Amino acid sequence: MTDLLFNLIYVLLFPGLLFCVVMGVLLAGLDRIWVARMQRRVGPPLLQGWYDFLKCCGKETIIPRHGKKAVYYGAPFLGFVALITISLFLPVVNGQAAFSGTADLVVVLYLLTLVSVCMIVGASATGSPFAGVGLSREMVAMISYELPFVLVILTVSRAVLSAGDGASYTFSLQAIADYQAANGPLITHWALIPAAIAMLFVIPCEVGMHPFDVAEAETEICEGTLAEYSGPPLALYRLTHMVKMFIMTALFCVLFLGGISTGFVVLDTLILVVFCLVLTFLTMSLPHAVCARFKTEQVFQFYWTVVAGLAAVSLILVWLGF
Amino acid sequence: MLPYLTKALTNLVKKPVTEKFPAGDPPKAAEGYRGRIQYDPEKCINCGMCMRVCAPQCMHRDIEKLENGDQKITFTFDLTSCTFCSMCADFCARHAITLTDDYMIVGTQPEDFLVTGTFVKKAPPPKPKFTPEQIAAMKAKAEAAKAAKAAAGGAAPKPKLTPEEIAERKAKAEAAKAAKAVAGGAAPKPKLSPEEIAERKAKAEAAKAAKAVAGGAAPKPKLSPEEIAERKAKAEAAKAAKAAASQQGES
Amino acid sequence: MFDKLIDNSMAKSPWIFHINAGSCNGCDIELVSVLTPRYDAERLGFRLTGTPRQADIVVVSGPITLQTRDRLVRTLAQVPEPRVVVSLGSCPRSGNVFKGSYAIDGPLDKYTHVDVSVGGCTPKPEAIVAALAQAAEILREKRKEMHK
Repeated sequence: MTDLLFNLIYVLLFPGLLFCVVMGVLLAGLDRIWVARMQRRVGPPLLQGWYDFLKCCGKETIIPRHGKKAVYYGAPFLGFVALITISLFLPVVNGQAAFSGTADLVVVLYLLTLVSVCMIVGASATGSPFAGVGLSREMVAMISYELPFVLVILTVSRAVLSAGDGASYTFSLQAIADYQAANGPLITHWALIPAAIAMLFVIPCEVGMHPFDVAEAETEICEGTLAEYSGPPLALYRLTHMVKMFIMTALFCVLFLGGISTGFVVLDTLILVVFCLVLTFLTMSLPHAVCARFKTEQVFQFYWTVVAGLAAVSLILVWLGF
Repeated sequence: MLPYLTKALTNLVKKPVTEKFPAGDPPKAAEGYRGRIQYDPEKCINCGMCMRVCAPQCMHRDIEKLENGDQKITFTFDLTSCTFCSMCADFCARHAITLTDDYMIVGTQPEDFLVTGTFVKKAPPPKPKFTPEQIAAMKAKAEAAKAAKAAAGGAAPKPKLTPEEIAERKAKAEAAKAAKAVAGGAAPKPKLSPEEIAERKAKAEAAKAAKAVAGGAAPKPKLSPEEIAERKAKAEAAKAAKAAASQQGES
Repeated sequence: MFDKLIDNSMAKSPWIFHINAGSCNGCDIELVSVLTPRYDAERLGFRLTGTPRQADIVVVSGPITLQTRDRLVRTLAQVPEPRVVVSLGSCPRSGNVFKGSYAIDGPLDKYTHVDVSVGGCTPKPEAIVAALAQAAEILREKRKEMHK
């Protein structure tokens, strides 16, 4: 009975629905304010993301004639649920995850892909040619960042050897957290620094932030994948976008900045929040204010040469035993 | 990318340059800004120049006749048609139109965008009516004044000629012209009578026929074939001799 | 309770879609300059969207030319309720200097109910910001009407 209660709290409050949404809104709001300040503007209020979400909930939903109703409503919902589920695997509560298993890193990878695929499927369910262009660009972006992301995961899982059963790599986030608790954060290992840099590049592309937001290019292709969305499904998509910012930065913290634990849940959460803020500024606000949007080919080229190269360098070093 | 990076980071610590506007008063427009029209009906004289020069034709004039002959004139400027070029203000002879610096022209109803003004244009005073005696008296007074003026100052006016004098002068001019014709210039071309013209024509035709007969009688002499062959042989001999001579000259 | 929250959010996050119905571009330039650092409309929550389906406020500029007439009507029909139409400049209300031309067809009133008008040729960005703020309030009223 208490198990059920605890599970419910994990799923709905912390680190589940409520915590993710609050963090997502906070990060998105701060990102917009930082970008505005870097452009010497005042910027929107902090809770602007929340107001956007509520406003979209209050609009009417118009489904195009060629659209499929079930997928139109179901795709954003499924994507959002998948995203919240990822947060249950991140060890943020006292170094323990709400649900853990032997291969949760792979599950996290698949769930992140599922979120992007839900966006693609939802876009194709509207039957609009703009959405078609947007989703093909989203697919290219996905392919671009998946390769370095997988390389980084392999690097980290190899660097954290599972001592007990003689395995040469581990995909368990719990094991990674335990290793960092014992040996310090992984970013202090010099061989893993290229992988950390590669992961920093993967974060904005995965989230879909400018300058890598090829899928949701605003005025170029009439908002791309979200071209025909309005009303509550749009609100869910935007919330998914905001929460993804938190999930990706939290994933980076878990993979490379783990092991800092004070024993109090509140303090640990606060440290996580601070790390997420710093990462958001470095990886999402700063490039947003400074760069123009990249072309699809440029994104693909960049990720498969520079970023994948960095991750591969780290992988080779780690496999050689450094 | 790097210069933008340093600029972005330094901008984080600087104050934003945004105007305070919806939170405070709107800022003042630049000097000479052409904003909302201000129309002063008291200065207007209803010349209509502004309506004539307005490119979008945004003015509307209503004239209402009142009982005593006055006109009540209402001008309406429709700001939803106005280009704010200030041609009306430039052309207004009495400076009744000015363009202020009020740029907040925001509204939800069409009436928010109308600037109107009404004034009453008084009719001109009626023409005074005189009786015939008064008219005669005024005329006589005018003539007396004119005679007095002629007697006192000015040169004598041009004397009026009588018809006999005019005829006299005309005859004198014609006589002078005839005398000039007789004395000076060559005799004018004598006018030929129709018989003389026919006579001259016949003479010219006879001369042309005689010329034709005479000319036709002596055409180019026709050569007989023997004479032609004779001349050809002579020409060829001369050409051969010339060629031989030139060849000898070369060698 | 949620309704009240949503009504307030309507006025705090209105998204703009801009339609150029044959305008000379003067008013369009002033509209996008409203999003620049000097007049910053983003602090009031405004955002320029690329698609009419996500818009709340539709800003129309230009006299309605014959070419844009059908597209204007179709695009306006794609905007979900509640929506507010703002006419920018003097062209949509009356045609300005193009009045009576063979190429334009009528003021914007013929095709849709215009909620807020900004006069001027071109209006100053501060006037546009004031009009957009007024439009956001009208948006809130319309949302209240919707669920009454």
